[in-house]
Amino acid sequence: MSGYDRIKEYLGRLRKEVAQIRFRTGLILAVALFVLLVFLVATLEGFFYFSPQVKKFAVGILFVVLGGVVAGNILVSFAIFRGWTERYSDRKLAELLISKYGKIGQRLINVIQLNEQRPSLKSGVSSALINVYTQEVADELEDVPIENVVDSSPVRKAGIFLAVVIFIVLAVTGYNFRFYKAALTRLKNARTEYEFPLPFTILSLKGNTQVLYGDTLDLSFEIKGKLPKQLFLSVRFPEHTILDRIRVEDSVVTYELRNLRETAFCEAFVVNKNIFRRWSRISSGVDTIRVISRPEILEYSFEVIPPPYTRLEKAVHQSSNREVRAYPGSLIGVNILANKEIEEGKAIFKSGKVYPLKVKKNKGKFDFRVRENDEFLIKIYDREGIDNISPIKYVVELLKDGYPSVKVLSPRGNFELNESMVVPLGIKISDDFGFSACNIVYRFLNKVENLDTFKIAFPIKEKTLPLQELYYDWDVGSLGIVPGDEMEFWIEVYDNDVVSGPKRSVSRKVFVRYPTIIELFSQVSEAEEQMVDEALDILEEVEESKKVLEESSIKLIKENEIKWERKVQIERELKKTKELGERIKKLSQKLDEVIQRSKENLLFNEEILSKLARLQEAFEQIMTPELQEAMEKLKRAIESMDKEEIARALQNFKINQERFEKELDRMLDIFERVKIEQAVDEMVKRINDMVKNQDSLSRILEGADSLRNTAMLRLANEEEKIGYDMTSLEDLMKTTLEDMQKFPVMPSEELNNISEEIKRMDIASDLNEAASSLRNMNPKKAFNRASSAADKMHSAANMLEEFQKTFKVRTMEEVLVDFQNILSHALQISKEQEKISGSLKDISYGSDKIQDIMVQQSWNVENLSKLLSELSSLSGKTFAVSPRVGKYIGQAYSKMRSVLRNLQEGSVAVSRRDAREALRSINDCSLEIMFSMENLLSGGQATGFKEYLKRLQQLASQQEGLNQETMKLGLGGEGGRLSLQRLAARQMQIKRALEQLQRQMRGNPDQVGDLSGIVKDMEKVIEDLKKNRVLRKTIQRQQRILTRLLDAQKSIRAQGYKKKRKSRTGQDVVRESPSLPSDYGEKSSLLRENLEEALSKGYSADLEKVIRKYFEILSTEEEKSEK
Amino acid sequence: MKKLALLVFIVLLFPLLYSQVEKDYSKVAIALLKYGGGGDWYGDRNALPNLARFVNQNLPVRVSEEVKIVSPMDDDLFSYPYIFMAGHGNVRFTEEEVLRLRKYLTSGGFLHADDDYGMDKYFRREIKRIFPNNELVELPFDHSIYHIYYDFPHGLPKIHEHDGKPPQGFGIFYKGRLVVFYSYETDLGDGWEDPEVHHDPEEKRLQALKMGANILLYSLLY
Repeated sequence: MSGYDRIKEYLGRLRKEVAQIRFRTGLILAVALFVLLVFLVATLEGFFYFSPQVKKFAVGILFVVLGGVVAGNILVSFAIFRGWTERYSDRKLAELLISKYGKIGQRLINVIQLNEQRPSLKSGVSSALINVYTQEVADELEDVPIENVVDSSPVRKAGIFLAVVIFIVLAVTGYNFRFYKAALTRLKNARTEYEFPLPFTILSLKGNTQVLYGDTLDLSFEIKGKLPKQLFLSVRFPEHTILDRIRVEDSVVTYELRNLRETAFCEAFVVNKNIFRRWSRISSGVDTIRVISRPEILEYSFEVIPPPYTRLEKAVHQSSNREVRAYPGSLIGVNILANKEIEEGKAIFKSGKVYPLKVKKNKGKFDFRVRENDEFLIKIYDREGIDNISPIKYVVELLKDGYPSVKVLSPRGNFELNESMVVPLGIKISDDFGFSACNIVYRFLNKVENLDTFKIAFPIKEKTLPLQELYYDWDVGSLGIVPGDEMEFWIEVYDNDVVSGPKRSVSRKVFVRYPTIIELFSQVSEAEEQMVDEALDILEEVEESKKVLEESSIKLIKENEIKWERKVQIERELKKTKELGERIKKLSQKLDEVIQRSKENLLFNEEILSKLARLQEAFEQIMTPELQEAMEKLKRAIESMDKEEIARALQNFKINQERFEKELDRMLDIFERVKIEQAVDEMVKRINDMVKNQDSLSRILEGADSLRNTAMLRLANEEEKIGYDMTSLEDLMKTTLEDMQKFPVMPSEELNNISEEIKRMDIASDLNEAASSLRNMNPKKAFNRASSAADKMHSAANMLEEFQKTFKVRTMEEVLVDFQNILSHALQISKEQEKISGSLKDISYGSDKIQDIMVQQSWNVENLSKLLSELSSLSGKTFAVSPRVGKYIGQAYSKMRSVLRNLQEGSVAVSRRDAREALRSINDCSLEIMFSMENLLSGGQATGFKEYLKRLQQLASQQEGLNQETMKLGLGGEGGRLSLQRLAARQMQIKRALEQLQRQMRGNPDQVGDLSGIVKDMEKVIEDLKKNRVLRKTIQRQQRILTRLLDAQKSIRAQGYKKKRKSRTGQDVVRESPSLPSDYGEKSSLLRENLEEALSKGYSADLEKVIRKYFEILSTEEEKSEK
Repeated sequence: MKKLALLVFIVLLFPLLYSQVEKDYSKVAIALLKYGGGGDWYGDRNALPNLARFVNQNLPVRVSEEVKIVSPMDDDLFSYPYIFMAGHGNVRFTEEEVLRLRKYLTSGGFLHADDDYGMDKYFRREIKRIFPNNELVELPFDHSIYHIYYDFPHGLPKIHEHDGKPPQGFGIFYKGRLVVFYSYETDLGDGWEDPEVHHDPEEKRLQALKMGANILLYSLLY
């Protein structure tokens, strides 16, 4: 190894030593630094409680620093060792030797320089020298211990330093052992956050809590440690936050939170504003205050099911209405919807009832039936048992099922029964929901022994119709009502309320009376009396009017022109006449009512009724077309103010007025006669009625021992009543006698005798005694008297019936005698006129016989006037006198006057002709009189309607048959020509029969109807048929003939029609529909079916009759067995 | 000679040719029933032709306007599907007539009876003889006779006032078929008369004709 190498090696060793020393020193210092840093960091940590980040950073820095220092130390040391540093280059190292070994050091440096410069040394420098030099130095170096060269005091110093540091650190840490322990622990757990120890803590005593919705919560916080001056309370709601400052005076701080409705978060805290304090905020922590909602009913709904009888639809109401209104018996279903799931619920009623709810999730329901007004509320509970607060109160209000109403529509007022024994009931019933029953409740008022009320059902077909008009003909015939009985009835109706029970309403009471026959007769009589009085009044007024008009007539002649007052006067009379006509029409209506009433109650016989009907028609037609025309003409004349015209019209009017008066007078006369006839009829009816009642009473009294007292009293009343009736009958006889005085021919003498005889019988006395005996409870004596009275009454009845027959005969005779006289006179006049006519044939102008003829004619005229007046008189007794008679007389009169006039003027030829015509008229008149008499005799009455009608019917029937046969032949039927001829002959027969009928009924042309055109049509038909023609016209004519024949009948019958049959347009009626019975009214009958089957077998007519009879018997047996 | 015979033949034939009365077989014939008892069976003679005319003008059926009169014993009774009777009074059928009418009605015939006022009790008596086992039942307002062509929701219209009662339509059913229709307290026949007869408002006449048309049509269809 070369010296240089040895020096290098030595230097290397020296460097290494230096490096080692350097390293050791560095290491020790690094440790000391580390310890110091650790101590520092720990101290800082101890005070400041770094955050994990800081701590991690600090610790990191520590180790980085340590690592860096160590690494640096190592690097430096290595760099020194490797000689990379200038500071520890060979030279520098050699310099180290200088300090200690001066020369060596220097020599070393020289060596180093020489060796370093060797390459660059060019001359003067021997390498060997260098080498030797180097060797020497190398050898010298070997004697220099490296340890002596390198200063190792840094190591020692470092060590000391470290020791001191450690000592101090340990001392300090030992003194604040906890402090540093904690700090080091914290540093060790650098990632862990350590709380800086606070000066105080705030502890929430409530913590997380829950309250019920709306409740109040008291918060309280305990402060442990140093009390702050104040703390903040934050209550955070979803929508807002409460931040409040609370003064701290005690370790426990409270705060009240009211009416909590929402969940909130509360926190009590204190905020640090001092930068030197490690903590910024001390908080109690956030507590959650959970507000628990109570169960709440969000929705109610009610289903109201009315009771079935109302037939109302169910209704659903919502909760907005706090009232539930329903009819008693309604089923109410209540449904609720809650805000949360319900565990259970109940409905609590004010009346004490409690109904549990059926719940499902958040819904609940219950039902209850309404019986009374009430209130209820619903409590619900959730799973936690929390209930709803302040539930809504609902009111249950009962609707009233109103009372039904019933009104009697007919009869309108009190009602009088007639023979039909039917009370035509019309009622109107109404109710909100319908009916269960309707009854007619009645009781007798005059039957003292039985004043109970009875009921019969009034049929209601459809009970559910709320408003009905019902009609029912109540047949009271089976109630045992007798004339004189009085009863009252009312209608009661029950509604169909099955819940509270049917409610009842009743109608007004209707008084019903079955008038006695006497009462009925009295009513008729009274009405007729009034009519007569009215007619007499009218006559009087007509008379006055006549006077006025007569006066006006005279003044009219005297005046030159019409004065205003004259005009007014005449107009007034015209108006009066019109009014009189109206009054007579009313009379006619009244008479019609009398006729109807009489018919209904079978008061009079057919004959009297037809006379009354005839009278009624006559009254109606009294304002004849001629009179009306005369009035119209007068009215026009007055308007024209033409004196002449007025005079003529006035004259015409006066004539018609006269006729009007006479006609009215005549009708009054006939009326009076008819009244008398009525009275006779009435007497017979009344006595027979009394006889019937008396007989019946006597029969009861015969076995009267066991009669109760009340029954006897009743019988006594009955007996007395018959007694009064008897007295009343005697009065009637007396009145009739008085009325008969006007008519001498009437058998008033006979009636008087009968009246006297009846008076002598003193029937009333017997009856009164019988009544008295009954009152004294002596039925045997009563029976004797009653029997005696009955016998006498029978006798009286017989007498009256005989009288009635006599009366009829007499009245007929009277009329017939008059007819005969008139006819005789008419024939006489005819004979005379014939003579006059004959005389006129042979004379000529200027003949001296003319005067004689004129005298004869004048006498005939006079006789004719007398005849006319006789006829007028007869017209006042019967309707049988036809107006044609008067017409013919009028014609004859006119012609006779004409004869006289013409003879005076010398016109013999004309007078001859007039005389002939006068004769013809008189003869026609005589014929008419004869026909009237025939008619009277054939009908047995003054009218002859029946026969005429029958005959017309027969003719119509014949015509119809003829029409049909003509039709058949017209269609090309067999027979042809000969058949048509036969038909013609038959038509001819019908025509002749009709003409004869016409002649017979000429006494009553109005009754004949429109027959005038019929004959003409018949003639044309005959003509066609004879000519073997059956044309369309022929058929039509035949149809027309038949129609007219039938219409003629109809016009007859029309007289008998009730006034109310005159067509009056009806008003539509709205009512409930009837319903068909399930069997459609068909009652199957095996018998009937068998009968029909048997009859369809085609047996002979006789055998069929036997079969029918057989089945009839079987049917009767069947009915009996069913009953 | 031959010419003369021919001439005579023609002359004889001529009337026969002219005597042919037209008969339209395409039209339905209706008839008025003639009955005994004294009642005025002929009262509504002009009414029926008016009804027939109305039907022809307004309904899809053709009815002969030449109304026949038929008695129960007539041979051609069965030719009329519809017969009408009305009146104010008594109705009386003989035994034979009762049987004949029953035969007619049970074999497809139809009787319409209309009370002109006063016929009611007689008609009821007689119809009971014809149908002893069948009651007159009031038809409900929904029966097809009230709706078959024109609608009458309240049943029969009230044409004329009689006794102040509501109008009623009664029927007799035979084996489920309506064979008799009886209009009471209305007087349909009067409503069919010419306007100048009763001076009813036109509306009333029309109602009566419409109801009559319904009844007639019903009789033809059922």
